[in-house]
Amino acid sequence: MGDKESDMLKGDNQINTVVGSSVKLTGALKDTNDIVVHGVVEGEVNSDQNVQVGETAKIKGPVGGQNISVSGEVKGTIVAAKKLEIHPSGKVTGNILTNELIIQGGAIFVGKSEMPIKKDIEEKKKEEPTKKDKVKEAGGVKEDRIEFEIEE
Amino acid sequence: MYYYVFEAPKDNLAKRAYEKIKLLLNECGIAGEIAVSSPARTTQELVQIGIEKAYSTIVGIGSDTHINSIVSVIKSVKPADKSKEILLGMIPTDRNSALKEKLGLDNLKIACETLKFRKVEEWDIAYIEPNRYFLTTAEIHTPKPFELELTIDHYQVKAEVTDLIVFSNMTLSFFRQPQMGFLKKLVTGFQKPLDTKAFSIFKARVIQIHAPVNLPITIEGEVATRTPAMLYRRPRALKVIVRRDRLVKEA
Repeated sequence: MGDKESDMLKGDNQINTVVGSSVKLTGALKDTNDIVVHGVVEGEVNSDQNVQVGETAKIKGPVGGQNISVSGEVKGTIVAAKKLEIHPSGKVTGNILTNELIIQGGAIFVGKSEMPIKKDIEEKKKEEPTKKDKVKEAGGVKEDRIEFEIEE
Repeated sequence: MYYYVFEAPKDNLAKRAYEKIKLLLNECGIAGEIAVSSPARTTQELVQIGIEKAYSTIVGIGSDTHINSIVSVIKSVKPADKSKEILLGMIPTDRNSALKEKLGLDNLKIACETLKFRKVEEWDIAYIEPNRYFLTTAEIHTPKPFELELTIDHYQVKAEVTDLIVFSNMTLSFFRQPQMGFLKKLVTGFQKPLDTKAFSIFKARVIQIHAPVNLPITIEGEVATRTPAMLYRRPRALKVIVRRDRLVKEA
């Protein structure tokens, strides 16, 4: 049995969805894992993880995911919770909503872009000092102390 | 407690393997009733007898086809005591057995010890109408591309393919082999790498194959049914004895 076949027998939580280049899909495609599109989709594409739109892909409908990479064509709204990257061969017609946007030279984007200003929980944690420079005044004398806190 | 259903041995090598298995089972202290399929008594009939005798564990010993047919009977025949679910044990004997690899049963000794330790998992299994369950794959293969039409859960898919494979966890893969004319084959030496973008992989609970019509769908080389066809996923439908110390790859 080949590696690919043995991989297919793994649980659902390890297999991504792949829409091949010769496929035409109609309807709502949803997955908890990554979705990779090389073919034509008329409908929604929604992943709890990442979405990759290949060069040969054409999607007519909304696209949603954490990180979305577009090298093909998307006509519809794109919502990327973390990052959206449009590659040189990518063409997006529609509104986009993302925290981080990269549009490479040669890419085409026609629509409205929204980038909500909200801090990640991780960023907030980073802002809290783990090494603290504490300047203490003791009896009028300033002492510089560095204290290390062990994070849980 | 254990009911062993051996597939009819195909050759002397198989007979010797079966004798070795019987010895190992005795050494492990899990000897039980043994039945060997034959033209007079098929695998399905033997399994039904085991269920009527209220055996709680049925062990299939033989090819993946043999084990798949045992699964179909276990799932379709209701046991006398409905509160007891039948456990399936396996000793796949084919060299290239998909089940052997899936269970990590590298040799006969490990297979017998696995039965002894009785670690049980609930497996998803696939069902293809009208009446077949399978733990391996259901496949369609054609030399020339055909126009495939499917409904997968809530969406429809169309593609031109030569090969379609449905795995027991209802992961579906299909692709189109590159078609080459005679001259091209001559030049490329009959080898052309398959374009990875030509592969599709979907996960499904229900698959309806609408078209084309009358294509054979095979399970382990046997024609199970013909298109159009419906396949279902039965989640956690079968209790299987698995290897106790198998390493599980984390996601």
